[in-house]
Amino acid sequence: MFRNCWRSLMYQLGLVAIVFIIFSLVFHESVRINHLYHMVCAVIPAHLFSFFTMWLKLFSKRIWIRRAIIMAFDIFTLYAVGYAVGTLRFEFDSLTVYGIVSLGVIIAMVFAFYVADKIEEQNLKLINQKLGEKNTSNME
Amino acid sequence: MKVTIIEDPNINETEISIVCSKMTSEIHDIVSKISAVGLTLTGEKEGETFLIPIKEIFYFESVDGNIFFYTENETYEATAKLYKIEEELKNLQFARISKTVIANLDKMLSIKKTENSRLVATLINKEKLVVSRQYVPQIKKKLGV
Repeated sequence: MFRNCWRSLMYQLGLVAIVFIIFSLVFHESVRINHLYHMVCAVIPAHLFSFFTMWLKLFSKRIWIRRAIIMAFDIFTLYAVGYAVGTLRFEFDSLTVYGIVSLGVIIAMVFAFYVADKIEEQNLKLINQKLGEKNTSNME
Repeated sequence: MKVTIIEDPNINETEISIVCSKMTSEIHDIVSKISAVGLTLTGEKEGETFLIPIKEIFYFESVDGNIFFYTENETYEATAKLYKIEEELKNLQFARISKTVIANLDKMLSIKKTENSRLVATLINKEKLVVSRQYVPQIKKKLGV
Protein backbone atom coordinates (compact mmCIF):
# COMPACT_ATOMS: atom_id res chain seq x y z
CA MET A 1 0.00 0.00 0.00
CA PHE A 2 2.85 2.40 0.86
CA ARG A 3 4.60 1.57 -2.40
CA ASN A 4 1.39 2.25 -4.38
CA CYS A 5 0.88 5.52 -2.55
CA TRP A 6 4.46 6.60 -3.25
CA ARG A 7 4.16 5.65 -6.93
CA SER A 8 0.85 7.47 -7.29
CA LEU A 9 2.36 10.60 -5.64
CA MET A 10 5.25 10.49 -8.12
CA TYR A 11 2.78 10.21 -11.02
CA GLN A 12 0.82 13.21 -9.74
CA LEU A 13 3.96 15.30 -9.31
CA GLY A 14 5.02 14.28 -12.82
CA LEU A 15 1.61 15.34 -14.11
CA VAL A 16 1.92 18.68 -12.30
CA ALA A 17 5.33 19.22 -13.91
CA ILE A 18 3.94 18.45 -17.39
CA VAL A 19 0.93 20.76 -16.86
CA PHE A 20 3.26 23.50 -15.63
CA ILE A 21 5.54 23.15 -18.65
CA ILE A 22 2.58 23.27 -21.06
CA PHE A 23 1.07 26.29 -19.28
CA SER A 24 4.37 28.13 -19.15
CA LEU A 25 4.84 27.55 -22.88
CA VAL A 26 1.32 28.72 -23.76
CA PHE A 27 0.93 31.55 -21.20
CA HIS A 28 4.60 32.46 -20.76
CA GLU A 29 3.68 36.07 -19.94
CA SER A 30 1.60 35.29 -16.89
CA VAL A 31 2.90 31.96 -15.52
CA ARG A 32 5.42 32.29 -12.69
CA ILE A 33 7.40 29.76 -10.66
CA ASN A 34 5.00 30.48 -7.76
CA HIS A 35 2.32 28.57 -9.67
CA LEU A 36 4.46 25.43 -9.73
CA TYR A 37 5.20 25.86 -6.03
CA HIS A 38 1.47 26.26 -5.44
CA MET A 39 0.55 23.07 -7.34
CA VAL A 40 3.27 20.94 -5.72
CA CYS A 41 2.38 22.21 -2.22
CA ALA A 42 -1.28 21.43 -2.86
CA VAL A 43 -0.70 17.93 -4.25
CA ILE A 44 1.31 16.62 -1.29
CA PRO A 45 -1.21 17.27 1.57
CA ALA A 46 -4.13 16.25 -0.68
CA HIS A 47 -2.35 13.03 -1.51
CA LEU A 48 -1.49 12.31 2.14
CA PHE A 49 -5.12 12.94 3.09
CA SER A 50 -6.26 10.55 0.37
CA PHE A 51 -3.78 7.94 1.64
CA PHE A 52 -4.99 8.23 5.25
CA THR A 53 -8.63 7.83 4.24
CA MET A 54 -7.62 4.63 2.50
CA TRP A 55 -5.45 3.47 5.40
CA LEU A 56 -8.23 4.11 7.92
CA LYS A 57 -10.62 2.29 5.56
CA LEU A 58 -12.94 5.27 5.73
CA PHE A 59 -16.20 4.61 3.88
CA SER A 60 -14.77 1.42 2.39
CA LYS A 61 -18.28 0.24 1.49
CA ARG A 62 -19.23 3.58 -0.06
CA ILE A 63 -16.19 4.53 -2.09
CA TRP A 64 -17.95 7.47 -3.74
CA ILE A 65 -18.38 9.18 -0.34
CA ARG A 66 -14.63 8.77 0.29
CA ARG A 67 -13.89 10.23 -3.13
CA ALA A 68 -16.20 13.17 -2.46
CA ILE A 69 -14.41 13.93 0.82
CA ILE A 70 -11.02 13.65 -0.89
CA MET A 71 -12.11 15.93 -3.72
CA ALA A 72 -13.49 18.54 -1.34
CA PHE A 73 -10.20 18.41 0.56
CA ASP A 74 -8.23 18.63 -2.73
CA ILE A 75 -10.06 21.77 -3.80
CA PHE A 76 -9.79 23.26 -0.31
CA THR A 77 -6.01 22.60 -0.28
CA LEU A 78 -5.60 24.03 -3.76
CA TYR A 79 -7.23 27.30 -2.70
CA ALA A 80 -5.69 27.43 0.77
CA VAL A 81 -2.16 26.84 -0.56
CA GLY A 82 -2.78 29.25 -3.45
CA TYR A 83 -3.82 31.89 -0.96
CA ALA A 84 -0.81 31.23 1.32
CA VAL A 85 1.70 31.19 -1.54
CA GLY A 86 0.17 34.28 -3.08
CA THR A 87 -0.88 32.90 -6.45
CA LEU A 88 -4.54 33.36 -5.55
CA ARG A 89 -5.89 36.54 -3.95
CA PHE A 90 -9.59 36.48 -3.18
CA GLU A 91 -11.92 39.35 -2.65
CA PHE A 92 -15.20 38.42 -0.97
CA ASP A 93 -17.09 38.30 -4.28
CA SER A 94 -14.54 36.17 -6.09
CA LEU A 95 -14.37 33.86 -3.05
CA THR A 96 -18.12 33.33 -3.29
CA VAL A 97 -17.82 32.60 -7.00
CA TYR A 98 -14.96 30.15 -6.39
CA GLY A 99 -16.98 28.51 -3.61
CA ILE A 100 -20.06 28.07 -5.78
CA VAL A 101 -18.04 26.78 -8.74
CA SER A 102 -16.11 24.36 -6.51
CA LEU A 103 -19.31 23.12 -4.92
CA GLY A 104 -20.80 22.61 -8.39
CA VAL A 105 -17.72 20.69 -9.54
CA ILE A 106 -17.77 18.54 -6.39
CA ILE A 107 -21.47 17.74 -6.75
CA ALA A 108 -21.05 16.85 -10.44
CA MET A 109 -18.00 14.68 -9.78
CA VAL A 110 -19.60 12.93 -6.79
CA PHE A 111 -22.65 12.18 -8.88
CA ALA A 112 -20.39 10.80 -11.64
CA PHE A 113 -18.51 8.64 -9.11
CA TYR A 114 -21.79 7.45 -7.61
CA VAL A 115 -23.13 6.43 -11.03
CA ALA A 116 -19.82 4.77 -11.99
CA ASP A 117 -19.84 2.83 -8.70
CA LYS A 118 -23.40 1.65 -9.25
CA ILE A 119 -22.59 0.53 -12.82
CA GLU A 120 -19.52 -1.31 -11.57
CA GLU A 121 -21.52 -3.00 -8.81
CA GLN A 122 -24.07 -4.11 -11.40
CA ASN A 123 -21.30 -5.44 -13.68
CA LEU A 124 -19.66 -7.36 -10.83
CA LYS A 125 -23.02 -8.81 -9.85
CA LEU A 126 -23.57 -10.09 -13.41
CA ILE A 127 -20.01 -11.45 -13.66
CA ASN A 128 -20.29 -13.25 -10.31
CA GLN A 129 -23.67 -14.65 -11.27
CA LYS A 130 -22.16 -16.04 -14.47
CA LEU A 131 -19.12 -17.42 -12.62
CA GLY A 132 -21.47 -19.05 -10.11
CA GLU A 133 -23.43 -20.72 -12.91
CA LYS A 134 -20.18 -21.85 -14.51
CA ASN A 135 -18.91 -23.37 -11.26
CA THR A 136 -22.18 -25.17 -10.66
CA SER A 137 -22.13 -26.68 -14.17
CA ASN A 138 -18.44 -27.65 -13.75
CA MET A 139 -19.27 -29.47 -10.49
CA GLU A 140 -22.15 -31.28 -12.14
CA MET B 1 -30.38 -30.09 -26.13
CA LYS B 2 -30.18 -32.87 -28.70
CA VAL B 3 -26.85 -34.69 -29.09
CA THR B 4 -26.22 -36.78 -32.20
CA ILE B 5 -23.12 -38.92 -32.70
CA ILE B 6 -22.51 -40.42 -36.13
CA GLU B 7 -19.89 -43.14 -36.36
CA ASP B 8 -18.25 -43.50 -39.77
CA PRO B 9 -15.02 -45.54 -40.14
CA ASN B 10 -14.18 -43.69 -43.41
CA ILE B 11 -13.75 -40.30 -41.68
CA ASN B 12 -10.12 -39.35 -40.93
CA GLU B 13 -10.66 -36.30 -38.76
CA THR B 14 -13.38 -36.00 -36.11
CA GLU B 15 -15.68 -33.06 -36.75
CA ILE B 16 -18.14 -31.47 -34.34
CA SER B 17 -20.96 -29.32 -35.71
CA ILE B 18 -23.33 -27.31 -33.56
CA VAL B 19 -26.67 -26.41 -35.08
CA CYS B 20 -28.43 -23.59 -33.26
CA SER B 21 -30.81 -20.72 -33.90
CA LYS B 22 -28.59 -18.17 -32.14
CA MET B 23 -25.10 -18.08 -30.67
CA THR B 24 -25.60 -17.90 -26.91
CA SER B 25 -23.13 -17.77 -24.03
CA GLU B 26 -24.00 -21.38 -23.26
CA ILE B 27 -22.96 -22.47 -26.76
CA HIS B 28 -19.83 -20.35 -26.52
CA ASP B 29 -19.03 -22.17 -23.28
CA ILE B 30 -19.53 -25.57 -24.98
CA VAL B 31 -17.29 -24.55 -27.90
CA SER B 32 -14.51 -23.43 -25.57
CA LYS B 33 -14.78 -26.65 -23.55
CA ILE B 34 -14.59 -28.80 -26.70
CA SER B 35 -11.68 -26.72 -28.03
CA ALA B 36 -9.77 -27.29 -24.79
CA VAL B 37 -10.05 -31.09 -25.00
CA GLY B 38 -6.65 -32.56 -25.66
CA LEU B 39 -4.94 -29.16 -25.83
CA THR B 40 -1.66 -29.03 -24.00
CA LEU B 41 1.01 -26.47 -23.31
CA THR B 42 4.72 -27.02 -22.89
CA GLY B 43 6.11 -25.91 -19.58
CA GLU B 44 9.54 -26.15 -18.06
CA LYS B 45 10.35 -26.91 -14.46
CA GLU B 46 13.77 -27.60 -12.96
CA GLY B 47 15.25 -28.29 -16.41
CA GLU B 48 12.54 -30.78 -17.38
CA THR B 49 9.85 -30.21 -19.99
CA PHE B 50 6.24 -31.15 -19.27
CA LEU B 51 3.07 -31.21 -21.35
CA ILE B 52 0.30 -29.70 -19.25
CA PRO B 53 -3.39 -29.94 -20.27
CA ILE B 54 -4.75 -26.42 -20.79
CA LYS B 55 -7.81 -27.06 -18.61
CA GLU B 56 -5.55 -27.67 -15.61
CA ILE B 57 -3.95 -24.25 -15.85
CA PHE B 58 -5.24 -21.66 -13.37
CA TYR B 59 -3.46 -18.61 -14.74
CA PHE B 60 -0.47 -17.25 -16.66
CA GLU B 61 1.69 -14.52 -15.23
CA SER B 62 4.49 -12.42 -16.62
CA VAL B 63 7.23 -11.77 -14.06
CA ASP B 64 10.25 -9.71 -15.15
CA GLY B 65 9.75 -10.72 -18.78
CA ASN B 66 9.41 -14.43 -17.99
CA ILE B 67 6.08 -16.19 -18.35
CA PHE B 68 4.95 -18.62 -15.67
CA PHE B 69 1.80 -20.64 -15.49
CA TYR B 70 0.23 -22.14 -12.44
CA THR B 71 -1.74 -25.34 -11.95
CA GLU B 72 -3.33 -26.27 -8.64
CA ASN B 73 -0.04 -27.19 -6.98
CA GLU B 74 2.73 -26.56 -9.51
CA THR B 75 4.40 -23.66 -11.30
CA TYR B 76 5.92 -23.99 -14.77
CA GLU B 77 7.74 -21.59 -17.03
CA ALA B 78 6.31 -21.11 -20.52
CA THR B 79 8.46 -20.41 -23.54
CA ALA B 80 5.91 -18.29 -25.44
CA LYS B 81 5.21 -14.61 -24.81
CA LEU B 82 2.04 -13.58 -22.96
CA TYR B 83 0.43 -11.93 -26.00
CA LYS B 84 1.07 -15.07 -28.09
CA ILE B 85 -0.53 -17.22 -25.39
CA GLU B 86 -3.47 -14.82 -25.25
CA GLU B 87 -3.88 -15.13 -29.01
CA GLU B 88 -3.75 -18.94 -28.87
CA LEU B 89 -6.27 -19.09 -26.04
CA LYS B 90 -8.71 -16.58 -27.52
CA ASN B 91 -11.39 -19.22 -28.15
CA LEU B 92 -11.05 -20.74 -24.71
CA GLN B 93 -12.26 -19.54 -21.34
CA PHE B 94 -9.10 -17.57 -20.63
CA ALA B 95 -9.17 -13.81 -20.26
CA ARG B 96 -6.58 -11.19 -19.56
CA ILE B 97 -7.37 -9.72 -16.18
CA SER B 98 -4.41 -7.37 -15.85
CA LYS B 99 -1.36 -6.29 -17.82
CA THR B 100 0.61 -9.29 -16.55
CA VAL B 101 -2.01 -12.00 -15.92
CA ILE B 102 -4.26 -14.20 -18.08
CA ALA B 103 -6.66 -16.22 -15.95
CA ASN B 104 -8.76 -19.30 -16.56
CA LEU B 105 -12.38 -18.23 -16.02
CA ASP B 106 -13.34 -21.85 -15.38
CA LYS B 107 -11.15 -21.73 -12.27
CA MET B 108 -12.51 -18.43 -11.03
CA LEU B 109 -14.95 -18.22 -8.14
CA SER B 110 -15.71 -14.53 -7.97
CA ILE B 111 -14.54 -10.96 -8.49
CA LYS B 112 -14.97 -8.59 -5.59
CA LYS B 113 -14.08 -5.04 -4.73
CA THR B 114 -11.62 -4.69 -1.85
CA GLU B 115 -11.51 -1.99 0.79
CA ASN B 116 -8.98 0.05 -1.15
CA SER B 117 -11.31 -0.05 -4.17
CA ARG B 118 -9.31 -2.63 -6.12
CA LEU B 119 -10.94 -5.54 -7.92
CA VAL B 120 -9.73 -8.94 -6.78
CA ALA B 121 -10.56 -12.30 -8.34
CA THR B 122 -10.69 -15.39 -6.14
CA LEU B 123 -9.78 -18.70 -7.76
CA ILE B 124 -11.11 -22.09 -6.71
CA ASN B 125 -7.88 -22.79 -4.83
CA LYS B 126 -8.56 -19.56 -2.83
CA GLU B 127 -5.70 -17.75 -4.53
CA LYS B 128 -6.38 -14.06 -5.15
CA LEU B 129 -5.45 -12.08 -8.28
CA VAL B 130 -5.76 -8.35 -8.89
CA VAL B 131 -8.11 -7.45 -11.77
CA SER B 132 -7.56 -4.21 -13.70
CA ARG B 133 -10.73 -2.27 -14.40
CA GLN B 134 -9.76 -1.80 -18.05
CA TYR B 135 -10.03 -5.58 -18.63
CA VAL B 136 -13.51 -5.96 -17.07
CA PRO B 137 -15.29 -5.47 -20.45
CA GLN B 138 -13.18 -8.32 -21.92
CA ILE B 139 -14.07 -10.59 -19.00
CA LYS B 140 -17.74 -9.72 -19.46
CA LYS B 141 -17.50 -10.51 -23.17
CA LYS B 142 -15.82 -13.87 -22.49
CA LEU B 143 -18.50 -14.79 -19.98
CA GLY B 144 -21.24 -13.69 -22.36
CA VAL B 145 -22.64 -11.09 -19.96
